[in-house]
Amino acid sequence: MNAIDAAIANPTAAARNSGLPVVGYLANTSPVEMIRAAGAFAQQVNGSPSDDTADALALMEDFTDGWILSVFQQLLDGRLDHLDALIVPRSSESMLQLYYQIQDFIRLNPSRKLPQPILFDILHTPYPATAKYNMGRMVAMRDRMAMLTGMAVTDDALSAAIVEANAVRNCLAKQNTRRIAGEIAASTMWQLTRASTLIAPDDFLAACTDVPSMAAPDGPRLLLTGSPHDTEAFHRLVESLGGAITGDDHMAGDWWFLDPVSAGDPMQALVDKYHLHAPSPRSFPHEVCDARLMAAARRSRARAVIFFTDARDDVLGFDYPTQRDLLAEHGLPVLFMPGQDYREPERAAQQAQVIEFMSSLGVGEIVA
Amino acid sequence: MTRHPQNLNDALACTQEARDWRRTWLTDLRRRVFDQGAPYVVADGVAPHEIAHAMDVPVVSVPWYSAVISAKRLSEFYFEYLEEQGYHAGLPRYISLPMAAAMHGDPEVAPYGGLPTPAFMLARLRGDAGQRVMDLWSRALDAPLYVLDASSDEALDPRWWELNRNDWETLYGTHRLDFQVEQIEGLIAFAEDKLGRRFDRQVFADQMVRVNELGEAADEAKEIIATAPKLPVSVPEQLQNIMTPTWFRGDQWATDHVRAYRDQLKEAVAAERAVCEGEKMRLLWLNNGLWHDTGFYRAFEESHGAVFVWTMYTNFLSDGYRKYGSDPIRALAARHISMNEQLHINPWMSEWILQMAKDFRADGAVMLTPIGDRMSGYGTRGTINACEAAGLPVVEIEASMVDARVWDRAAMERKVGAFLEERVAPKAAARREREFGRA
Repeated sequence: MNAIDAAIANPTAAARNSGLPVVGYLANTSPVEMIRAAGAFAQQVNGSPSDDTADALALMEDFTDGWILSVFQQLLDGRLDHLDALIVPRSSESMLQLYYQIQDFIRLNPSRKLPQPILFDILHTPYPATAKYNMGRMVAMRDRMAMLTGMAVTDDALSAAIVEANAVRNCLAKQNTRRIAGEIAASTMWQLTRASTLIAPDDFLAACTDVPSMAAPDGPRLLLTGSPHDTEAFHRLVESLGGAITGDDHMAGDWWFLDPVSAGDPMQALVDKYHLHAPSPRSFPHEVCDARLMAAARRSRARAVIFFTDARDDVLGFDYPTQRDLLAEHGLPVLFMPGQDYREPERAAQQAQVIEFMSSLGVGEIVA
Repeated sequence: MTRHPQNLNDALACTQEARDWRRTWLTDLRRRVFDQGAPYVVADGVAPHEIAHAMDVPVVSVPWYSAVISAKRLSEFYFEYLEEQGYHAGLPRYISLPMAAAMHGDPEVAPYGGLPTPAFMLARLRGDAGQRVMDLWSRALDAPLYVLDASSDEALDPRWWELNRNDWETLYGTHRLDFQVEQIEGLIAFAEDKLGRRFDRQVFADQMVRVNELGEAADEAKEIIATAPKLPVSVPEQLQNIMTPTWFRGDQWATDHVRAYRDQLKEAVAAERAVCEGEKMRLLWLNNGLWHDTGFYRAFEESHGAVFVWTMYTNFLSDGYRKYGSDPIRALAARHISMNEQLHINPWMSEWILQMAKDFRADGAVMLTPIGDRMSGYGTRGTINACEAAGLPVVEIEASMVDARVWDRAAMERKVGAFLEERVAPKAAARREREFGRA
């Protein structure tokens, strides 16, 4: 686990030491395969709840998602100066706003050197016209990456990068099976997932060969859905109370490694993947999101669900009543935890809610 | 059209005519659609209503029905209903009201007995929340939903309004326009199927010409307001005379009305009529409207000699809607492809407002940052920063556009009043010295 721990402790170290051009990217809908096929190092950029985002708040609205403010703050601080570019997928309004904010900052401050933002205008309506548009955007991304690194992106290179990225996804899926089986903890799974976005695929695969089994909590099996988690703190809290989060249905969780890229023409396969098989807040129609949640509940063999949303959420809360009712039809109770502060979550209140919920599930005394 | 007596507070006769047109339309809508079951379409504000208009089918827009519910003082009832259903209080309110009315479903409560099932619903998937609202709403009404996905520009030319009318291919990019045209052609086929009517491309082309003529008249009206020594028409009257024609764009009435508005403005300026004889300070109202208290726009005329000269509705009709070109469908694609973005993403929002500040000789600005509607709040921080950097003082007030419960009029008057006295008055005096040789 040393490489995993090191990646979590220093998220940019592997990228900085790679000796390659480094392309940062946001979320699970940026084509990492394209970055690597162009000979660059792919590093996911995430928010950090411990960041003081005062500089970002002077330029962006205070209702901006906490993780977006944190990423912008990291850019302003120079903590991401090692990036040659930053890919921003059009998979949520918050990310699109960040993209334009970076562009406008560069326009107004030409002497400041920020990584070049690149919009990946991937759309998620499931229609042929959208697929055609997305193919155009994928071709544009291929050209952009080739220009950035000076290395043409061939189909062979792309196919190899797909194999490499799928190996990481498959590895995480295997670890997830262990998590569901109670062999590793949810907090460990979160760490593995996050680390896989920060270090080279080979290094990650090597590190995964010795993830030790441990006694995971044997309390109620819970599916966590809603807003993404940029630390494993909530997972640890639930574990400390005896609960077992066996599924993470959110952007920083299982969305990352489910659905490998399919075989066949690599460009078409990538378009299919990021158009239709990479969940996002803009997935449409919402029956797709409901079906995804139910699949996650089955996969994780959850006994109950925690629906956790950020204080700034103005989107996912619309999904809750429908999904609550759908889960209830299958006998799955839901704990709704709206209004969670990104930077300073009220852990005591969270703990009280989780204890009460798990008690209601009838599992006996909860460890406080 | 049933005519009502002129409101004595109106500066222009055409203002009452706009109200009368609206009332007549509503009466007709209730008779044709609500009572007789004629087909109609529900569409969000930035969707191409033109397709339904060209097929002679009325469109109920989301902002309009939201405003009706709000005006009937049902907002609180429906907000509480949504929260009872599990929709948390932080979700957008303005766009949720019609969905709430449909979900609640009681015709005894909803305005006009509630909306009947439309032939179809139409949405441009601009915001992440909006796409959910339209999806849930269409399910509640059991209506088919057609969506236009929202592509995005990689680079935003700051002076978009200079390219927007003629050079929109450059501004928005061929790949985006190709996609939008494909989606609109899909919409036409969908509409023909759901309505059982043929889309007449010549009727549509004629309509597009009339929208451009409407925009030209609106542009002339804007120039008259901007260059008049004193403001000739208040913002509430500007809204009546511009917003109603905007919703009915393409109809000959709309073009004729804005031409009449322009002509009456000319007369008012020639006769040296002013909204506020003691005008001293000229203000921009930034961002969306304060729909539940439009009287606030005039609250500082007597006390401070301060008038609001501009809102984004004053001339978005001229800068945002006009599209010239030989292909009407592609021109329509260009009209809506980035409509919300122009008003809520920087530098598009900020640079347009800076230009308006120059055009309207503004001394300061009031920025409304909406409570409970994040999409409408984007761009506000950067715009405030840009205005202040350019020497235009801005005061920010937080308010809901539709929820009067969280509006403290007295406190806001004090806040804006202090801003006018401390920051705007000296700048306004310097402008008057330049313009008139006296402060």
